[in-house]
Amino acid sequence: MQSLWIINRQGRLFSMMQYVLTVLASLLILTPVDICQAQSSATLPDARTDLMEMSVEELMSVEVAMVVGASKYEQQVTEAPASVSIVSADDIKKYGYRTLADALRSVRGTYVTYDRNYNYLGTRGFDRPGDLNTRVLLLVDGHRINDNIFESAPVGTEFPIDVDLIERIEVIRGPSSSLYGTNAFFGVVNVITKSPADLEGTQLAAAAGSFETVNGRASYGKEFRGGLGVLLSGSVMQSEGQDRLYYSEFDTDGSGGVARNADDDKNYQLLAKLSYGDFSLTGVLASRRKSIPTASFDTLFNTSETSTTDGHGFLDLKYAHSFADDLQLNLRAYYDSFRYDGNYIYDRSEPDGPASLVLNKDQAWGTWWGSEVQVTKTFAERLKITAGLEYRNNNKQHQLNYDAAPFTQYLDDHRSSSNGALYLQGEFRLLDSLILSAGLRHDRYDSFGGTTNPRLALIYLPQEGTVFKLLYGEAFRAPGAFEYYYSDGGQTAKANSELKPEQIRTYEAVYEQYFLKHYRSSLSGYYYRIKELIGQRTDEIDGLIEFANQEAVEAKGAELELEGTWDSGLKGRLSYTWQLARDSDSGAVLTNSPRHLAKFNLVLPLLRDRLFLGLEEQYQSSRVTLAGDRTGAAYLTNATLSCRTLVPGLELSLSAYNLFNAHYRDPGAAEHVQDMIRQDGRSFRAKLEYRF
Amino acid sequence: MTTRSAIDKLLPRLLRGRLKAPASLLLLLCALLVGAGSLSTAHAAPAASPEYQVKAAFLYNFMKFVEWPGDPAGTPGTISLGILGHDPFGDALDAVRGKYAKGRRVVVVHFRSLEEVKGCDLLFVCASEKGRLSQTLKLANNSRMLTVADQDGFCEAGGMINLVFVKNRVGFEVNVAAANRAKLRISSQLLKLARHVFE
Repeated sequence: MQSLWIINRQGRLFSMMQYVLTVLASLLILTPVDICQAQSSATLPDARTDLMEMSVEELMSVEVAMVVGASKYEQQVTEAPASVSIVSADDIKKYGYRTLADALRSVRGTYVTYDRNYNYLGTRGFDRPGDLNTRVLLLVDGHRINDNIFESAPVGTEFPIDVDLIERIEVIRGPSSSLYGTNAFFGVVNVITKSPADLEGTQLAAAAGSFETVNGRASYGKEFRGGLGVLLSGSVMQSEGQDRLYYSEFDTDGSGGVARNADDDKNYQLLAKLSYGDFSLTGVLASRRKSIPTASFDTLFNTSETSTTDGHGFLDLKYAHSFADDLQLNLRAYYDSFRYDGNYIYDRSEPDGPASLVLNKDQAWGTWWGSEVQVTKTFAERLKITAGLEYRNNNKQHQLNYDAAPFTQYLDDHRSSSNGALYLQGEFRLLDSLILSAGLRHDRYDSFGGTTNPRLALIYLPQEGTVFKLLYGEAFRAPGAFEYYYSDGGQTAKANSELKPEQIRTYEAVYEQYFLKHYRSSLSGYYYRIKELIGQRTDEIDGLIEFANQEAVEAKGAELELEGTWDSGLKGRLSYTWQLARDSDSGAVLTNSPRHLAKFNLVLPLLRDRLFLGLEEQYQSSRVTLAGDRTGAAYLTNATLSCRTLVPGLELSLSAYNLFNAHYRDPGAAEHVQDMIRQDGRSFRAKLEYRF
Repeated sequence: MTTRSAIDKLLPRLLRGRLKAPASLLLLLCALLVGAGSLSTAHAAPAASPEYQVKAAFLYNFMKFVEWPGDPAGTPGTISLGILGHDPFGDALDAVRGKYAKGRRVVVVHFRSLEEVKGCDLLFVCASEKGRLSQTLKLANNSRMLTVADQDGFCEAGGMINLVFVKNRVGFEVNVAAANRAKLRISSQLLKLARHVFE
């Protein structure tokens, strides 16, 4: 099989195409089989005549795709002012996703880069090595997760929620600063967690897999008679990681280039939810420690002591009330804490002197609280207005860097800051088939001042199952405390408090068509321009590295997707993305930006509703590295068998990731000696889940 | 960069075949999209949202599972579905119109205001009528109409069936007491499936 796609550089793409076409053909061929079974209609629109033939019971199972994150209220995906993809709880289970990154990787147009410490989410051809996931806003039930030091969205094992507790993931493409402010630059990922009623009982899950990985989860959820809902869940994970990782860059090192037992990863994730009437309270506490095997930042090679620990915790209280006259009031108040603890081992011994290993501690602690008031009112069913007021106070933004022994302090930076915003969005139904959505938000920061960002969308639904969207949006990303203030006492880096926010303008057109009862297809194109992009540069006068607004980027892309869903549980999705992101000045294609992405997902019911095969194919074309080299294309296959056993409530799944053991590499960042970092080969996982 | 220059760059490449693979996929999917577009029939009426297509099918089912006392309210041989207020169904009701329930042909009637309401078997009270819910229900229940809506608190206010949208799916609540008072009999099959039954 492997010979099919691992051919020469030119041939590779074409062989991939043959594969994709075969898969597409098989997807289409599957249709008549299903129709022959005379299953009644399913989940998508354009099934009207069939709907009339359906029983009440069948009608109650018809699903209409909804999204909350696009407008801060629930609306149909077809009418949302953005291009939206949804990953469901069923997808997470049937495709065997272990992390949020696994789930996001399957979505049209995204790609994920792993440096054996963090996962970096690439969207719209943009994922520069060294950037910290700051241009996508990550929300959990509408609560902002990006921290107040690095502004990072944690998507790997450091994501604070166990993926088993996710009800759905909304991926909302395009700028959404008009509603959310900073970080909603390329898009918003809104993770909706399960409700107490979704669990309705106790769940125990345990999994074991390659690299001596084990994890377990215990959850309990119940909605009591009086309306009180309770959900409690705790998860732990531990992985030894790869026991040997070879990096030729360290050949001359005493280790022979092999990092032994330096890839371990462990975390815990706690979640509590309480709901009563219009109130809901969510509490999250999670932490992850990961050893860094790559000897990044010139640390000692082949040690498991160099590591980072990231902890997230928050309390979020929400009040949502609907008044009789089409008025909806949402109030939110929250308190967040984020801790980062980096241990970096340096070899500071003199040549021929005694060995001298020094532990350098790099730490950050951020806490913040805030609140939001949002009012939505519908007027005569033609006009829906949302207005909101948001305030956030970063009462602690503390960055610290020191050597443990002998104690030498390089950085001890205490800051606090605040920002507020006012936003307004209107959804006007100009005609029954034409919707205009217009939004505007003004953000005020005590650091750089104010910024105003609009979003405009024209949505045209000319006939059954046809959707056209024209979208325009502007967004910003405020410089983070890390970019403003990180320095190491004038040795190599210095602070720059003159930073301005990054800005993006995006134009997008989307055409969606629902057809033949089970299919949805979409075709979209976008163009964006970024100004004032923040990057690192060396000051010519003092030779110190600092962050500065310096670059501009221009990009365009086109995406195609075909999706099918059937009642039997059969579903499939095929997508192709073409993208080109360049530096505006030099015209050079951005680093870590693949020109082509192709994805194929299929769930095949093997034994009615008992046994399913989930299959994923992911292709990404070669990417340019920092050194100007190319990574080569990557072609991955993941497969998961999931079944409901004969014991009621007991489910078993077996997964193989990178089934054909493809060798592929992701670009390294400036902190890595490695220009490319090799990724995991084939790995397995077995998982048991019991509900009672 | 302008679209023009993008096309200028893309076309020669397509012709040279450098982009053969993505281009062929593009063409294939375009063909599929166009094919799909031509397959779906054109409608003059505004397109209904998927949610209201499902809700329209629910209304049709309610007509099958409810027994009215005495003679039909409208023309003999027909069963009439009244829509009071601003119609959210778009063209979804086209699929109900002309169908048969209990051997009677379904007719759809629109009422702009409460004063116009007469002679219908099932009355759907649109969200636009929220302000005058109590008068509406008083009239409709006295005239033995099955009252249906999709608004919070409809059953609590004395309406008979309320369509609810929870977790991307449509369900319904029933106020049996209100139906009984109007001498309407709602089948037990329907009651079993209700999310909530008000006795």
